[in-house]
Amino acid sequence: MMDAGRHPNIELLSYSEVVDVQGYVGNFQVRVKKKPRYIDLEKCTGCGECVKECPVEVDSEFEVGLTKRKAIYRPFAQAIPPAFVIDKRPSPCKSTCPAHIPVQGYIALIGQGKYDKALALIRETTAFVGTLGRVCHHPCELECKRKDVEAPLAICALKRFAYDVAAPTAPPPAPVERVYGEKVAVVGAGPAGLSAAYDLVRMGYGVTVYEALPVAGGMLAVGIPAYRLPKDVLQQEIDYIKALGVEIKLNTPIGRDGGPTLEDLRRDYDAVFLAVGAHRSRQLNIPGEDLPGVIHSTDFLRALNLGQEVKIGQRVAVIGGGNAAIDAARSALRLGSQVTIVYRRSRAEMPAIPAEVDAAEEEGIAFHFLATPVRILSKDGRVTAMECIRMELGEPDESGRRRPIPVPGSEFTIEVDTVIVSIGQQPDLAPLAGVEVTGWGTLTADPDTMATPVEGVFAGGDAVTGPASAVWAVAAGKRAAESIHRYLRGLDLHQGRVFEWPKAADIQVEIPAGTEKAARREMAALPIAERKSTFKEVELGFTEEEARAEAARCLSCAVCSECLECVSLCEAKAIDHNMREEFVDLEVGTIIVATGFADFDPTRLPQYSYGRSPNILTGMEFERLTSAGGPTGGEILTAEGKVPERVAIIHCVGSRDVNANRHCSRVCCMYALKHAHLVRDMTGAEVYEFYMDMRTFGKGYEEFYERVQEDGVIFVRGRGTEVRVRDDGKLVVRAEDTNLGRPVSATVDMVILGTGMEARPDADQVARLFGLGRTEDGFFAEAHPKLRPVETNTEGVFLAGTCQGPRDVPDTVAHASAAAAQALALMSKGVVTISPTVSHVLTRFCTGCGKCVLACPYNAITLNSDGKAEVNAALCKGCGTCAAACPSDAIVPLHFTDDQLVAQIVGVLQ
Amino acid sequence: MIEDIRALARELLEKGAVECVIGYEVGPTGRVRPAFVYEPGEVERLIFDGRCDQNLVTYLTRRNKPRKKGEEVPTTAVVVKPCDARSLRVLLNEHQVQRDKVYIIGVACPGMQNADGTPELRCTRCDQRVPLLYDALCGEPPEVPTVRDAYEDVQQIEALPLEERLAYWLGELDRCIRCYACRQACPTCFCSVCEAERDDSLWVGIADRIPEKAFFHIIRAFHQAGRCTECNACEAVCPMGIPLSLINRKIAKDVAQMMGGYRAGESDEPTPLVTMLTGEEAIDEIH
Amino acid sequence: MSGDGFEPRIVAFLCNWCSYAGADTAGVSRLELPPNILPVRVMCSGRVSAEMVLKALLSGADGVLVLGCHIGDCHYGSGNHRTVKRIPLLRRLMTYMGIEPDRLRLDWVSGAEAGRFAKITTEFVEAVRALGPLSLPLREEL
Repeated sequence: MMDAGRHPNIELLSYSEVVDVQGYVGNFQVRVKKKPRYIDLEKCTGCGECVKECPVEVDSEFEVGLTKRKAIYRPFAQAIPPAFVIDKRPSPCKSTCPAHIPVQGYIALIGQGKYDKALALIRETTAFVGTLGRVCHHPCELECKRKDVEAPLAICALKRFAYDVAAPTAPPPAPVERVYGEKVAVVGAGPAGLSAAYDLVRMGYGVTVYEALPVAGGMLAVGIPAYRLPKDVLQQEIDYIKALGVEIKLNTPIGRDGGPTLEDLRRDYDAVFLAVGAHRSRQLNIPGEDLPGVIHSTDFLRALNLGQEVKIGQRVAVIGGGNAAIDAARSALRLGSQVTIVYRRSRAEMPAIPAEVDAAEEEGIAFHFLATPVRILSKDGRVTAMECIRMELGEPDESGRRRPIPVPGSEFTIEVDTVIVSIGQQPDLAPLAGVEVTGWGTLTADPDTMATPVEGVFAGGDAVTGPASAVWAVAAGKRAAESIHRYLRGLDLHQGRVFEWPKAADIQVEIPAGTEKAARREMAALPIAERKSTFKEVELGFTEEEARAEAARCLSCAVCSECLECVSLCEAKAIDHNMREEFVDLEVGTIIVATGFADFDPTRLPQYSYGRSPNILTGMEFERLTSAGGPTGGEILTAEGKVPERVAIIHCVGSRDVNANRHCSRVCCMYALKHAHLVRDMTGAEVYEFYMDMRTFGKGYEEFYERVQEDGVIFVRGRGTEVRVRDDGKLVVRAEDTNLGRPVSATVDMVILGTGMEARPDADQVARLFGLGRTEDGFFAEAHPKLRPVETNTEGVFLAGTCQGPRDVPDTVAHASAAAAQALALMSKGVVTISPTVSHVLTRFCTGCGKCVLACPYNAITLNSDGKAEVNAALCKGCGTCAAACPSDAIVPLHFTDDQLVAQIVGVLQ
Repeated sequence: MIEDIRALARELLEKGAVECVIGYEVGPTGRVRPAFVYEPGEVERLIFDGRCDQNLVTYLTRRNKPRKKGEEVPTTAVVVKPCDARSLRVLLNEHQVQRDKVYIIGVACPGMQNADGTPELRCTRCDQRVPLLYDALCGEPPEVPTVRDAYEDVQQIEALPLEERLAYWLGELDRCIRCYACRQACPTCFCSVCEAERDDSLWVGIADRIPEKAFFHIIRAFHQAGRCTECNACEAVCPMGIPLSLINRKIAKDVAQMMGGYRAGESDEPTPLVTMLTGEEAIDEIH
Repeated sequence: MSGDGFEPRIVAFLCNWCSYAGADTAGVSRLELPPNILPVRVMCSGRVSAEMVLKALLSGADGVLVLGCHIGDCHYGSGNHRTVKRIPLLRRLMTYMGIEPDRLRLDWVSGAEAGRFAKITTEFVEAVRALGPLSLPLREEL
């Protein structure tokens, strides 16, 4: 293998797959997909340093699950090429996260107690670690695969933990060095604007953020109450962004109150990002809405958050079912009021985060579902009550939620003195002259690139989508930053970017066998009594133990968590986590297929109890057990770590069996004898071999059989029929001894199943790809069972080894050498003879109707300028489908012409 | 309507837009026959009524094209009924007619009549009153009457016992005199040399015996599979009165049933017999 | 109907890659095959035209068997997608004209399916044997 790897004329394309084969012998075009290895083959020295800090462990394929490997690994020590590879798969959490934060990465780091690194990893994607860790609606948790075991991971709370434990003590970052001369203006210091600024400043651009309000943070600052997001957390994260070099100009609206206009910004900056949010509240449009006791949640929460005095009454009604409504209600409660939420649909349709609704209810807020106000009653200019009407749910509307319909005559009155309206928000776009506005009153921008129709102006966040969640704003800011970078560098806005990540439902994740249930941890919360009177944070965060226990529940769906620990360890700088798959087109004259076999899976024959005891091994597993590099360092030990006293070996598991494979796998008798010899030699244990016939077909094999007999192995002629696992862990093997003519049994410590060889499960696809036939046993068919054992029915394609049928090592080497010789024979000639069976057009009969053109599976026929069919002989494979389609008999496949077929038909019937 | 056709024909010939207008006229025996009008002055010969049942599209194929001084005319206008339009669509699909070389005078079809004034059987099954394609449409589309079950007659044969069917067809096909009128009248039978008359082909001999005659008719019908528009021209011209359209329409019925409701000439989809259809993996009618 | 000692003559059109190979495998496997099968090899079942089937029936065959690769396994990718429409359509027409449908059969046999080849051919021969000779006037002389 080493020699092949080093040979100058051999190019190894490892971790690659053939995806298409075209052409014919001497002229094959082969397309190969090179999967991303994430490691540069040229640079990797194979030192193995990278493995040390990898936090993810999965079963080792090479050691057939007897040991574990890391996400960054080399399949086995002598692998060619000796370079490592990273096992990376899509994960539902990262795919679902709008900002695509590497969730599994920071969870793995928290699990290992590397909290600083977890924080740093999240900060690679977003600056809002503590903020999102508190306010995110965490769609990732809905898709977390752990939900199939018992409950999803508390991903959001773990992110918060990473912040809480590591951020407050971390020193402020150093300013980022400017790389580019261009400057970017960002309008709006909310999560979208600041996220774009954060990414742009780290790329090396100058960034100035314009903010109309006296504080930065947007809705995070003035929309979310302090009991959910303490002011100091948000401020610290904004300070972090500022420390990198982002300038934030507060109290500076655009296009009004004397601030600069959009035109000014376009002139003074190289690009502009509009992230003005949606701060204007929607109106109810009912009588009494203008009364002084009616306020809007945005105004209420803004005033509260800015520390202004807010006067509300004793009995407050909040209209709406979104997060802002819940925030307003819970804030009003903390000001000492009795609060009722009135929502026109039912609880299930509420857009607010369910946990927030639960918390509101816990705190004593009343709910009126399926009701909506029709007017607000007053006395002496003061609100006294609200008249509502009951609703019922009709057909689903375009949002997929059932549409509420008023029930006539069901009006009722609630006595209130304050009404807080929270039925949605819109952006205020009037000051931004020149931008395009949609019918929804939002900004027009490309949903992928965030580009607006105005040159150099990008837009994102609530101003584009309407009110949405913070993480969507972060995602929009990130997309805009990448687009602005591409725009400023003159690059294509789309090329090479992934806008659509795989849907969680399409990601196949196998839950590892033996995963035990472990309850999801919930954060401790402030006592109800304390909540009602203060704006102290309600949720208290995880303790260290809680966080690590929660992190341990992660199933590592992606295998590689992208924690990037390996990158810092690799001295050769060979690791590139952004590698993409590549396609290589090869022109070759011959193809040798050597795709090997599959080991029979004995769980298909439950009578052997495979999987029910760790001491029932397949031949392949026993082989690894005896290897010096194996799990026991080569010692033959039971799973309990003891030297076995009695061992049974069962032949023909999955072979010569109508319930599995009918064929003989040929190699098992000999490897079973080898195993028997090893056991006798290394442990001295008693060995029972249950065999049907002993097939010692090769040179020197019979002699080895005699030697094993002399070793004292007990041979029982008869199929091992059953293995039972006793309560004490001992294994009872039953068989029929055909020599004695009666059933026998043996109680042993270890059973080795002589599992056979079968065709690989993907043999069908491989066969289609290379145009191969398959024999009844599923292996690839040779051209002739006796005379052409290497060639296939597709000229120029040869078979080598066990893909054609079971064979042992010497036979495989011989078969492979024969395939090489066949290929060389073709090459040394330098020319190939191809089949003369191609179609030919008799022009004078051709009407040019084109039926042959449509019928040809190879597009080998075209209509020429005279309107007649013409065959491209290089493309034609001679199937003759064209001839059957032609009513004029104007196209004839040579050697299968109409005359020849008529003669044959008449001939066979004579 | 006829005034519209004549005026259009005159205009086309005067402008030189076409060299020949193919329509209908009353022949010397009083029967309606195809008319080939080359001069603007002759357009008064043209007529159109319920007797004009020939499928004039046949005259657009190379085999039957009108000639002027021995030369094929490059451009023609043709009077086309809705049924004829489907034949024309097949010919366009199969590159036998170039769309820019033919001017289609579509007629709103009143339905054809037999000599005794009763409606032609095929017209009682048809609900198309306006051709699927035309350059100019003459006449007002009349109301569509209720149509009869299209395949009543085929189903009657299908219902016969096997031996009676064989006897019926042997009897009918034995009357064939191999005059090839059916083939000549068929718009989609346009091979330059017919398989049945190829001197180098052994498929079907030219003998006037039942095996050869049966072979000819079955294969001719099979060649029209997915292409026959059931215009009845073959049967109409048969001097022996053999019910040829019963063979063609059986195939058309089966093609529609087996191949996703396909009807020849209704779209630019080619005959499904030469293409791959989605879902063919599921066809289980193999034996 | 079945005459004493009647041995049907069956023309079998076999595609080169699957069913002809399957017949070969059946031979190599020493399976018993009916001698009534008269094979005509074509490169693909897509080559089998209505003319070929009709010619065989009118030239003395009592039945015609068309065997190709399974759909999806065609050596030429999609040749058998034409066969899967053409032969059943012809079979319906043939029945319509009074010939027993069981005299024409289309089926799929892969190169590996020696047993299937033996089964299908045996079944078909027995089915045609039960129908008796195909009697058409002047058939032998075509």
